[in-house]
Amino acid sequence: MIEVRSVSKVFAIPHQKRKTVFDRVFGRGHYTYETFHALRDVSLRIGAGEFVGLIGRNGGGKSTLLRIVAGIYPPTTGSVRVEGAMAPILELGVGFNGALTVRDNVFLYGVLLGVPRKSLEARLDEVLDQAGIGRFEDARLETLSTGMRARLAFTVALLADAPILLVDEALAVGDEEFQLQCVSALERRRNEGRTAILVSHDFNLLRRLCPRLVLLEGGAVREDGPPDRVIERYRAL
Amino acid sequence: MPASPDPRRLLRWEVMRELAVSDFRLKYYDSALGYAWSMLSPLLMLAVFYFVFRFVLGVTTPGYLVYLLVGLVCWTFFQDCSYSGLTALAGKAGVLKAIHVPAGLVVAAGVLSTMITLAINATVLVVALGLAGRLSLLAPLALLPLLCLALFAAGVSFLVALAGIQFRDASLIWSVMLQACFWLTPIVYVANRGPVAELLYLNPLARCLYLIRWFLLYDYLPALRFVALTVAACAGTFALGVGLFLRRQARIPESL
Repeated sequence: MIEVRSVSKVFAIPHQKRKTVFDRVFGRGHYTYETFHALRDVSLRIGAGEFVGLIGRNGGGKSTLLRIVAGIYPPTTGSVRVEGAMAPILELGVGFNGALTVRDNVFLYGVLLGVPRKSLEARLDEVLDQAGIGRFEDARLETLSTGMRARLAFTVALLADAPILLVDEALAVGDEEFQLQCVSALERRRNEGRTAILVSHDFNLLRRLCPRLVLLEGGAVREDGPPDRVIERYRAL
Repeated sequence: MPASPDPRRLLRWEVMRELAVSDFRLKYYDSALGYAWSMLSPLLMLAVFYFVFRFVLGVTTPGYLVYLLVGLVCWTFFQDCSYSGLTALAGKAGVLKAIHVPAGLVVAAGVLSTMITLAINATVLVVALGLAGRLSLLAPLALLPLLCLALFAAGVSFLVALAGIQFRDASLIWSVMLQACFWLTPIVYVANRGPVAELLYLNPLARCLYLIRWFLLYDYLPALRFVALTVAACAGTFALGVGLFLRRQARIPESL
C-alpha cells in the first residue's frame, strides 16, 4: 500500500549552480533563486495489488513523485507512507561500470537494489542464462552491446523481488523480444498480486498492464481513473 | 534464541563493501603496474624528498630514510582519503538519484577503499621494517594512532564532501589546503622538540604521525595525556564530519 498525502515538492534552483566560497567571503551574497514547484499538493492512494500507470508530459512531475515515493527525495510538505518493501527501478543498470566484469556488475547492481550478496552468488548462473550472456561473465561489461546490458540490468532488477515495484521508463530500451519479456515479467508480478507504479509514455503497454492511470500535469494530479479516460484527457492537454 | 542481524543493517554494510571493493578494483584496473602503483607513488616521493633533504639541505638525522617513509605512507593515505570525499558523491550522482542509498554510504565506501590501500601499504611497511631490524618493541601500539589517523581522515573526507556540494570552488581550495597541511605536518622534516613541535601538536594529523613514529621506530612511550588528546581530537573530527553530513544527507541527491 502506498499513500501519498498532499505532497508538494519545491526545488530551489539558483541561477548559478553552486556558489563559491570566494563569493561568500567577499560578500557577493545576493543569490537569485528560482523556485520550481515540481509537485503541488499531490494525494494518491494505491492499494495493495494495484498496478498504476503514471503519465504526463515531460516536466510534469512523474519522476519527482516516483523519487519521493522511493525515499530518494524528501517531500517539501506532506507525507508518504509505504507498507511493504520496495524495489525502485528508476533507471536500468544504474551503477553499472563498463570497466568491471559482468559478474562484478551483477553483484554491485544487485546489492544496490537490496538483494543480499549471498543470493546473488547462488543465482548468478540463472541470471546470466536468462539475460542470454552465459559465456561472458568474466568479460568486461563494456564489451556487451547496449541491448545486452539492458537485458542484464532488467534480469538483475527482477531479482529485487519486492512486493512493491517502482518502474520509470525502464522498458524503453532493448529489442522487441526483450520488451515482450519485460512486459510478461511485469504481468506475472501483477497476477501474483504485487503493487506497482509504472511511468511510461507507451500507452499500449500501460493499457495492457494497468487498469488505472494517473495524469500528472504541472505537478498536480489532473485525472485519475481507467486508461481510456485518462489518455483522452492527456491528448486534450 | 540467538538474535538474527537486522537485514537492513546487513544490506547497508553489503552496499558499502560492494561500492568500496569496486572502487578499489577500478583504481588499479588497467594500469600496467596495477596495485604496485599505490606503493610506487610514495616510493617515488621518497626518492625525491630524500635527495632534497639529505643532499641539498643536508639533513643528518640518523634513520631519516625510514622516518620519511613512514611519513609518506601516512600522508598518501590522508591525501587520497580526503580527496575521495570530494569526488565520491559527484561520481555516484546517477546512483544517488535513482536508488534510495544514503549518501553517507557512498562517501564511507570511498574512505573504505583508501583504507584498504593503507592497510596493505602499512603491512608491507611493517614487514620491511621488521626485516631490516628497525622495528621497535612498542610497534604493536602503533595500531592505535593509525586508527586515529583513519578516523581523522574519514572525518575530513565527510567535511570535504559537504563543502564540495555547497561550493563550486571547493576542489581548488582543498588542493591548496592539502599543500598547507603537508608542510604543517612533520612528514618530510624533523621537528622533535621545542616551540615548533609544540605548535605542530595543534594539528591532529601531526599528533598521529608523532605517535606512529614513536611507537614504530623510536621505542618512545609518550605521556598518556598526549595519547588521550590525540584520540579525542581525531574522534571529535570524525564525529563532527559524520554529524554535519548526516544532518544534510537527505537533501544531497537533489542537489547533485
